[in-house]
Amino acid sequence: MRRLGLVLVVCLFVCAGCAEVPTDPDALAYYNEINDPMEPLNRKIFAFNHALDKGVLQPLARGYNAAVPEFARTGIRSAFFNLREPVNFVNSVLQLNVKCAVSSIIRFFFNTAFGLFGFHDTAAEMGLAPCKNDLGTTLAKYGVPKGPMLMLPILGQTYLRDAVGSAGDYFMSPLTIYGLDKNPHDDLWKVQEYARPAADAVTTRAQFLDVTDSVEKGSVDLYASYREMLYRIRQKEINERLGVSAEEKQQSYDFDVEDDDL
Amino acid sequence: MKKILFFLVAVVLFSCAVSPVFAGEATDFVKKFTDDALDGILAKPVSLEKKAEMFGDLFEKCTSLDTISSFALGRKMKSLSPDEKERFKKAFKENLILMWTLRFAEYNDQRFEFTGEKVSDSGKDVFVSSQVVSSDPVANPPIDVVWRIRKDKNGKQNVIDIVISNISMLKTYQTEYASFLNRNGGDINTLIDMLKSKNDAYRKDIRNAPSKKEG
Repeated sequence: MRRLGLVLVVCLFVCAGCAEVPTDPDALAYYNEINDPMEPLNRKIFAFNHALDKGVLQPLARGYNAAVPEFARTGIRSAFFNLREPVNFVNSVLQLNVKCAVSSIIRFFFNTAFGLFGFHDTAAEMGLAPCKNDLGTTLAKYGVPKGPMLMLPILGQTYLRDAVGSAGDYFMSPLTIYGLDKNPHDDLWKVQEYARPAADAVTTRAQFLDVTDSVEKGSVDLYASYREMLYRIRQKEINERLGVSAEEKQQSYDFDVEDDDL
Repeated sequence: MKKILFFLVAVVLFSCAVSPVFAGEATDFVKKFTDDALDGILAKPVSLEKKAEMFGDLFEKCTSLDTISSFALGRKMKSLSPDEKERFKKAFKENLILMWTLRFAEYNDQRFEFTGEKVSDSGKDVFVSSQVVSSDPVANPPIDVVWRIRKDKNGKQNVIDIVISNISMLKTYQTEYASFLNRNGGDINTLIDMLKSKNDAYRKDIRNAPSKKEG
């Protein structure tokens, strides 16, 4: 009975959030490409996330930028990236990308041992460039479609494929595996489970304050602006990781521009 | 790193040079663009308000405002009266100039490296590929920038789009404005008023901006 209630609530939520399908051919093509069928609901969640960002995350990120010198911020970003190296490694293996797999695992051990746990990217200085990777990209490589756009509370914009990928990445992280059999009252477990993601969020947010300030000042529809930008950035990221040809990359911005007014 | 994105767009929108040849010469055209912007305006010891004026002049000369504004509004542009078209173009142009004046004022220490050019599928445009690199590539990794160049009917080259890290300026404006109009009953005057209010805010910021580039 409770399950039925849940299903009804979900149906109500989804139907209340369905976007109107455009009839204009150009608008329909864009609607299909961006695939945001739950736009009305997504906009509500976006408004909540944006308020949370303004009220909590931005002040913390601005304070962090003001208090922490740039070299230390670079080091902290590098250390967080180092914690992701095992995830990069696993996904590179799954994608049969030997070069990146080797680079990620060597970087992880090298930077952990000789780079102050990744605070200093010693491996990069020796020519081992970072290879960021994730399960969303792995799924894309094997033909899984991106699915509908989702606006997740707190976590923000993603696509169904990437959301599943992020969950998978979380569970393949050594830190998560370490925490699985830990007592919830264990201090180290608490750091891994709460403090690390919070610190990661603040440092990442701090990195993009300038650009988001600018977008927010200029945009007439913030939701539409971010949706377009984040979609294109993610598309580029996946294309680059999977080695898509220059011709295919050009397709994303080689749309028709009429010259009636020229 | 992201600051560079805005710097790039500022450079392309506000610098200008016209090359007599199109095919195969688009890269030279864009190179001249960037040189003129960096040396001709960025380095000038004048106030930000003055630089905004200089950018405005260059913007008129070297970009195709008609193409950009028409594409930004999509099919809606065709349904506007001449008066509405003019008012939109004026507000839109001011918006571009003021926004990028502010953005570019924050940047220095970047240079362009050009990596090739390709003709568009339609054959009408040339995409010039470049990268923006800084003196500290670890802190500021290179950013891909593609410039879309088209000749007008008089043979003059124009920048009609800039694609930074796969984000097309034209496409972003189009989707944003279409969404705004859709949510406001298709009323162009609401959009024009919104642009004007943003322009007023930009002007205020420009007046209050610290004059980093002066002297």
